[in-house]
Parts: sequence; structure tokens; C-alpha cells
Amino acid sequence: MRIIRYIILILAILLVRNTTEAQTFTGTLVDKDGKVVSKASVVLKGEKNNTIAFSRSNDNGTFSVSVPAGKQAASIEINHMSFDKKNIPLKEYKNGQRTTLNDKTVALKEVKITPKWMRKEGDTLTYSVAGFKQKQDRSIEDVIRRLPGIEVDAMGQISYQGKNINKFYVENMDLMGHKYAQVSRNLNADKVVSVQVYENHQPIKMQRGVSFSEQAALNLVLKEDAKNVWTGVVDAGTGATLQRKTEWLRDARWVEMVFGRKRQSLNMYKTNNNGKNISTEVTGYGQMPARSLIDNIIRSGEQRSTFNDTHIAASNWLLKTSKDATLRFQLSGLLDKVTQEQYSEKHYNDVDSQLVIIEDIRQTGRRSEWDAEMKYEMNGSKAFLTNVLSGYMDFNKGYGTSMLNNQLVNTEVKPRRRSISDRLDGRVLIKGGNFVMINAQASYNYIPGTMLLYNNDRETLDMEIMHLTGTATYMKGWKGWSLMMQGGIKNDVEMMDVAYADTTAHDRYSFHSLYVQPQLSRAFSRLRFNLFAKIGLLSRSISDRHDEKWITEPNVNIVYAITQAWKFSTGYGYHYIANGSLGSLTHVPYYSTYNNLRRGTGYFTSTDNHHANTALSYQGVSNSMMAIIGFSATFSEEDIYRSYVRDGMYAHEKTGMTQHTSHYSLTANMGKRFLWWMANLKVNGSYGWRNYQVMRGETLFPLQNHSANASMSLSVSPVISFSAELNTAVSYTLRQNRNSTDSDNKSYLNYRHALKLFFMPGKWQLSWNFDCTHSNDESMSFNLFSDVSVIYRTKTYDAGLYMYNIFGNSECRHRYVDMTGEFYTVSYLRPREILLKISFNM
Amino acid sequence: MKIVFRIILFVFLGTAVILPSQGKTKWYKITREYTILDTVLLKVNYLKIYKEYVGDIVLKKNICELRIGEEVSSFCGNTHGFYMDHAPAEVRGKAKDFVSLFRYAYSQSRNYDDEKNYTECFKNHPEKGILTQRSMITVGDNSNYSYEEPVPEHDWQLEEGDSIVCGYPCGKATTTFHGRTWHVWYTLDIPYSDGPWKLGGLPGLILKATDSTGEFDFTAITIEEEHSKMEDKNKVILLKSKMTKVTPQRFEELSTLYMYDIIAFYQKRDGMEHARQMAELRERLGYPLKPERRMPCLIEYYGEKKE
Repeated sequence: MRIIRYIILILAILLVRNTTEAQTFTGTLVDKDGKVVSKASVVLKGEKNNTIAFSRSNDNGTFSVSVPAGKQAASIEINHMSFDKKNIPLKEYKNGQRTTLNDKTVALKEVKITPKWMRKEGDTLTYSVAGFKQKQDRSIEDVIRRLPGIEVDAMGQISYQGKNINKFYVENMDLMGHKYAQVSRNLNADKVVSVQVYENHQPIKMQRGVSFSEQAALNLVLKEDAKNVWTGVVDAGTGATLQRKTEWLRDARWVEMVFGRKRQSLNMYKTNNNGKNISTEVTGYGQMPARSLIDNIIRSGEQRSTFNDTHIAASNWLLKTSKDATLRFQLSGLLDKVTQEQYSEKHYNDVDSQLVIIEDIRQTGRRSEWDAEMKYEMNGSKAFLTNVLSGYMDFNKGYGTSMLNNQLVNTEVKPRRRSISDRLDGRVLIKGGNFVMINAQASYNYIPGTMLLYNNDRETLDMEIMHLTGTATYMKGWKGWSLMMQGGIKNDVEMMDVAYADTTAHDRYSFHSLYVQPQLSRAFSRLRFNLFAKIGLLSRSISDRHDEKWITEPNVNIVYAITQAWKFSTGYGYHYIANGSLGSLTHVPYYSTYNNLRRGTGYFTSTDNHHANTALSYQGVSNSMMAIIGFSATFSEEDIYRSYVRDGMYAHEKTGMTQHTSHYSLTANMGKRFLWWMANLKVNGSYGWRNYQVMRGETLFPLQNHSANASMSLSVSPVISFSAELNTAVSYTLRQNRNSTDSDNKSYLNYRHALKLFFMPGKWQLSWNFDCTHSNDESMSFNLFSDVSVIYRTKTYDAGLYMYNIFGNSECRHRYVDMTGEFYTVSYLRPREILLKISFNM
Repeated sequence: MKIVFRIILFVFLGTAVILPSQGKTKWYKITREYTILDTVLLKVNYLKIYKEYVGDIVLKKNICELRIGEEVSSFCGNTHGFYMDHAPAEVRGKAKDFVSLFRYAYSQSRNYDDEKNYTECFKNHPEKGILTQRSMITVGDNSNYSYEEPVPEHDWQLEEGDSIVCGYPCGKATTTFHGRTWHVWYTLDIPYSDGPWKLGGLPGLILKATDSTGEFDFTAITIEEEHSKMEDKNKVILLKSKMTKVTPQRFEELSTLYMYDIIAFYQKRDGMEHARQMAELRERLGYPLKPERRMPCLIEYYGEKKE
């Protein structure tokens, strides 16, 4: 017995020794000629291919590596620069064995960068302001306009690689929301170090890495001396018109701002009457709100043809109330008076081409718009909460006279809107990194309006629109996959009261839907895809008609990075209702302008829509070049209208029939910064065509509209004291009848060129702009405009004398075709003007 | 102040002199005498972001170059040289126009900062297992200091978590070294046991290293095999300079004092007379007589961290 006990004890000791010894692996590494390999890295890998221990082979080619206590090793991996990687599962590894390494077949992946004016780190693209700014640039918008890949439209809205940005941050804080033009147009470019673009920006921190956004965000990085101090600018300018009746001009602004870590603020007041459109700074670029169906008052447009008198004021505050919480308060007001004189001839596609509507309009639009918004955001590591409460109110009106087919008509329109809305977003992180999101939105719009009609009747059109939506989303990450399940309800109720002449009517439209939306997304190293489908029950009613339907709306988006620079994306989406609103559905005829009558059918027609798009983009950071080429196709089912013209009145009524329309478009944008002469080139092009049918009399005519735009802008600065900017654009419109090649075909080519020259010796700046428009149509005039300015600049102030329209052109003619018809307009232009302006930087 | 340091740096390096090109690869050549220590196998440039003084909000940045040889590796600041080497094709195209190359590099490196204590770090020099640190504190004959110490054997804790740096999959590891906790990301795809500054000893090259306080950070921005035929580029070289040998502790003391109170530094090193001269010189140059005393953030502490 004792012997057996000893044997067991010895066995036990041996066993224990064995197991402890098994935790250390040794071996010798040799090459294919049998020479020992030193300095190889030897790594023990765990089940998940994670490194759990490592060692190196010594000069004799031997190594020894131990498994740390509590860890499980699965394989042994040998790496050396001159040899191929070798991975041996531990089951196959004999301790102490000689391992032969094979000569390397794959070369090292070299990483080279040529840092210049653009830099890319992860999803962040950084443009150095110093690399793009030219001496004449004042605001940061002037510089942003030059950046390859970024476009700024005439209204100041910024887009990156063809998509509008979703956030505009200053020092990573969202002070402005969608009214970012207040910053981009008033912040001095000298105060900014760099402009950053966050690609695929997910504004909600907790969702980053889980759900992807197709949109990008912009961030301004400020210079140290511009942070946490109040800076600002005060301008005062006065002048006079030098043609026709003398009028005093003014252009003034007062802007102060601070961008600190705990507080950001921007307050401003601006006023002018020199045609420059400043109203977008307070109206912003958010989602289009529900507007009155008769909102057709004149708004500011191009500087040369806008006669305005505008005042805007805004106050924005962002306060960090605690470590994770911010409170934002925005208030803005607009007082705008725009007068317009325009002669126009309209031939509608769907009525006999002999029937022309000729109008000679003199009208004034007065806008008085006020809005306020308060946003509270708590962005903790485990919970996120935002609440946005906003209110809006306006007192807009338009009035004037119109010579309508040789009859004098007084016009007056008062489209009003008051709205209040609240949006609540909450997210709670639950265990395992998954989270639940809740979103609720409610808004109420009261939209009363009255309008004088072409026959001197008065229409009153009052609307009430209520939206109520709620969603709950559960997100779960699973092995790199991200699963999202959203359930939601959406309720819209619209009511309308119309009264004119002997017509009085009330109509009501409601839309309720209950849906679930599963979403699956995944980001691989090169491929990212997002798949979701909305499945639900839809219940709609208008007047006494009711419609219920189960819908499935699938959507898919795929982005594939071919190389670091090239990216391919494609997507498809289906929507059952492309657009549904009381204004387009109601059977009650109503006037949308003083001579434009519209009428729906009062029941639902199928209006589904398929959309597919694909794009190839290039992002050359090292050669400062960005480009994108995209193609999209939309197939939808649309209503067919029947129209007639009578006494200068155009009526447009739904027939209840539908047609299939298709729309294709091809766009291409390219931007590049060259090394020579600080040259910056941007080329944009687009071409689109649409197939549709119009009903003329009782016959359907198949039409095809083509439109093409091409533009090029080049700026150069060969020496610091001279810059030149050349912009040239051509637009082409064609309408053709697909059945015949008769006189129905109309095509127009309109050109626009602008050349700006800047001579900047020392502190002086002399700039000379030439602007010209011409067309292939002989009846169109060739217009050449010229502006001159002389400015003296110092660090603290600028003083300048500006001369506008020195050739004194008085009108501009334009002829074009679009989906609805053919148009010819004559707009009257601002006279020759002189303005003296002084501006102080604080 | 910054301009003076820039001049100092140039004087000290004495170095990047541009020669009209004779071949397509010759852009500039180091004209000072140097010793060849090893042949370069791999060259890695790191962006170094660091805090100079305690309480600073602005972080400084420059570019450092790691040259990995068979045995020896060197790690030096090289912002200007980086832009010379990585000038865009348009600048390189004008091979004869060396001035435009120099101008380009100068204009780009203006966005970076010069280190107050310019340092170079050689691993396995003068012999295997020994690390040589050479450093310049201020200007003058005896302002170059060097010390030797064993190549540090870091006690790396392998951590969960991975990342991709410069396109390479990386594993994470952590160690504590001379008063700082470093989190690093290393890649097994480049199995050199090296890294920026004094860091190394992992089974792969360290591509990113961050100190837990956020005061120092190195991130690889380029990884290249050296194909140049010029030996000042394809070799690990040691520029000849007169060095005062000190202990690491003494070096720490001097550099702290220099950054904390420059006059006291001269006084301690060179005596009252020189300190007075320097004070006068500073006054002439328009620097404040009593500079603001601020505690520097040193990358390593041999003794206790001074607050």
C-alpha cells in the first residue's frame, strides 16, 4: 500500500511538473539553409488571436516564452522582417523544436505622406487655412469656398463632396445649429488655423462607431489669441445711387463673438439696402418648415437685381452648465423689404402654346420674421438627453400691382405662420454597450393667409398643421455588426379652410403610421453597408375618403474604399409616398398665387418612388485634389394634370390618372490646389434629363427635359500683391417632344463669366470685377457689368470706396425652359452706385 | 524667443545645407562631420505632440525621425528635414531649384515648434545594451550634454484593445517608466523591437505612444524603407559635437532649472559674471528681465516628480 501511495505521489508531482513545464515554450529558429535566425519576435497568441506573451530569439536563434498565469495560449507566432510570418497552433508545436522560416515574399507596406495643405487622420480631413487663404480674403467663408471638395452656394450653404454638411462646429461646439452663416460670413479668416471636415459624422457621441451618417460636419479650429476673448467687427458704410432717382445707401454691421471652453456666443445686428442678401444668416439652412400655400412674396435674390431694405439681428449663446451639459439659446429677427420690377412671359407646357400669360409686376415683399430656440443637451458617458424647444412667428406681406395681359390688377398677399415645436431625444446605455434611444417630436403650425386675386376677389386660406412622432430604438452591437430595431408612430393632421367669391370649404387630411424598422449595418476595414426597411401600417384619410395599407420600404447603402483615395458608394431606396400633403391632395380648388388655381382629386393616387444612386469619389490628400462623379436615377409614379388658361389665370387640376416618370442625373465635381501661383481650380458639371408626359386638351404628350450646367472657377495669386479670380458658367436647357421633332423643341444656352482682379500693394487693395452674361438666343442682350473698389487695410480697420455697376446697365433678360413651361423674363437692375465704408476689427 | 531658438537649432545642427543637385535623389546634404553607426533598415517619422510647461493649454508639436539599423537605432527631432525629404513632386520636379525646396521645407516647418531641449536618443550605442542620450540646453560651447544608461527594460503589460495606426493593425501595451505611464500601440507586422524615444522592447514596432497625462504623444506618420544612396540618409549617423558628460539625474536638474529660471541656470553653470552678461543680453533683446517662472513638463523624472 505504501508503495502505491508513493507511486501516486510521484505521479502527482510529475503531473504537476508536467503541466507547469508545459507553460513555457522553447525552440530554435533557422532559415532554409539551416542558419540560426536571431532577433525574431516570438509571440504567444490566445484564442481570439490576441497577444498574451512575447519574447525574441537570441544570437543563437533560440527563444523561450512563458504563458502568464491565468491565460490560455492557442498558437505561437514568429515574425521577422526578412522572413514570412509563421503561425503554429500549440497542438502541433513540439517544445524545443527547430522551426524553419521561409524567405519573405511580401514587401513591407510603406506609408509615405507628403504633408501640404491637407492632412487626413482617420475620418478627419484638415485643411490649413494658411495654405488656401489669399490676401483679399476676409471672412472664413471666402477661404472655405476655395477648399477642394467643399462647395459654398450663393446662399452660403456648405456642402462636402456633394452632400450638405450636418453640423458646423467652432472649436467642437455647436453654437449656431443650422444658422452657421452668421459665423462663416462674419468670422475673420485670420482668426482660424484650420478647417476640419469630419466625414460620416455621427453627431451623437454615443452612437459613433455604431451607426454611420453619410453627411459630414465642419469644424473650425481657432488661433490661440482668438479663443476665450470677445472679438468682433463694426462696419459703417454710406453711399448713394448715381442714376435715376438719387437714393441713400447704407451697409452696416455690428458683430461680436466669443469662443471659449465654457461659453460661446455670437451677437449681431446688420442692415443694408445695397442688394446684398443677408437674410439667410438668420433664416438658416434647416429643414424647410411647413409654409403657407400662398407664400409667394418677393425675397432677396441676386445682388444686382434686388432692391432691398434689410435689418437682421441675432443673439446666440452656448453655455456649459456642468461638465456634461450645455444650454443653447438662439434668438433672431428679420425685417426685410424687397421691391421688384419684372416683366415676364409664360408659356405653359400643358396648355396651347398660343396662350401666353404676360405680366408686368411691381411689387413689394415685407418680411418680419422672429424665431427663438432653446436647446438643452446632456451628453454623459451613459446617458444622453437633448431637448429642443423652438418657436416662430412672422408678419409677412406682399403688395403691388401687376399688368396681367394688359389689365391692371392690384395684388396683396399675407402669408403668415406661427409655430411651436419641441423635440426630445434620449439615449440610455445599457449593459454590454447596447443602448436604447427614444425620440419624440411634436409641432403645431398655425398658418393663416389672405390674398387678393386677379379678379379682385379675396381668398382666405387658413391652415393648421400638427405633427406628432415618437420612436424607440434599440441598438445592439454584436461581433462588429450593429443591429438596430426601431419602432415608431407618426401622426400628421392638416386642416384647411378656404374662402373666396362664393366658395367656402373645409378639408382635412390625416396621416397615421405605425411601423418597425430593423436596420443592420457593418463596417469592415474597406466596406461599410447599411440595410434597413420600414415595415408598417399606414392609415390616411382626406375629406371622407379613407385608405389603409401595409407598406415595406427597403433601403440599402454601400460604401467601398477601393484604395485610400478612391471610394465607391451606391444606394437604393423605395418610398411608397413620395409627397403627401393637403395642398396637393385636396379637391377644393384654391389659388396659390393671384392668378394660379390648383386642385387635387380628393382621393389618394399611387405616388411611389424608387431612387438609386452611385458615386465614385477621389480624395487625394497628398496632391490636394478632390473629385466626385455621381449618377442617380429616380423612377416615380406621378399625377397627371389638366390645365387651362383663361383671362390671364392659369388653372392646374389633377385628373386622377397617373404616369411613370423617370429622372436621371449625372454630376461631377473636381477641386484642386496647385503649387504654382497658389492656383486653385474647381470644375463642376451636371447633366440631367427627365421623361414625363403632359396632357394638352385630351391628348398626352410625352416630353423630355434636358438640363446641363458646367462651371469652372480658377483663382491665382502669382505674387502676394496680385490675385485674379475667373468664374465661368454655362447652362443649357432643352425641352423636346419625344414623338416628333417639330417646333415643340426649345433649347437655350446661357453663359455667365466673371473676372475679378485684385491689386494689393502694401496696405492698399484695388479690385476690379467684370461680370458678363450672354445667351445663344439673339433676342437676349449681352450684359457687361463692372464694379471697382479701393480699400485701405490695416490690422485694426479697413476703409474702402466701392463703385457698383459702373456701366450703368438697367435690365437683364433671361429665357429658359423647365418642367412647367417656357419663360422669358426681364428684370430691372440696380443703378450705378457708390459706397464709402469703414470697418473696425476688435 | 521662438526665432532665437530657431537660429540656435540651426547653428546646433549646423547641418542641412542644400547643394545644387547632381542627381535626382540629392536634395541636401549634411555638411558637418559625422560618424556612421549602422545602416538604416527602416525609417519612421513620428508626430510628437507635447506640453512644455505645467498648466499650458496649447500643445506643441514637431516631427521626429526614428532610424532603425541592424544594431543601433537613433531618434532625433527632424521637422525641417522631414519636409525636405517629403517635398511634393512639383517642388522636387524643379531639381535645380534648391532654394524652392528649402523655402518649401521652411514654410511647412513654421507650423511646428522647436523643442527647448533638443534631444537625440541612440539605442545600443556605444555598445549593445547601452542607450546614449544627447541633448542641447541653450547655446554656447558647453551647452551640449550627453549621458549613458542601460537600454531600459520596460515591464510591458499587454492589454486588451487594438487599433490601426498608419494602416497597420496594432496591439496595446502599457508600462510605467521614469514617472510616467505610457500606453503604446505596436504592430507585429513590423517585428522590430523599437519605438519612439526610449520606448521599445515589444515584439513589434511601436507606432503610437501616449503618456497617461496627455502631456506627451508620439504617432507614426510615415514608415519607409530607405532607398537613398546618400550615406547621411541611409546610415544611422552621429554628428560630431563637443559633449559634456553628465549623469541622467544631473541632466534633469539642469534642464529643469534652464526652463524654470534661465538666469539661475547660467549662474549655477557658469557663475555670476556670465549670468549677468546673459541678463544684459536678454534685456537688449527685449526679453522680460524676470521671466515668468513656470515648471516644465519633463518627459521623464529620475527622482520624484516636482510639483
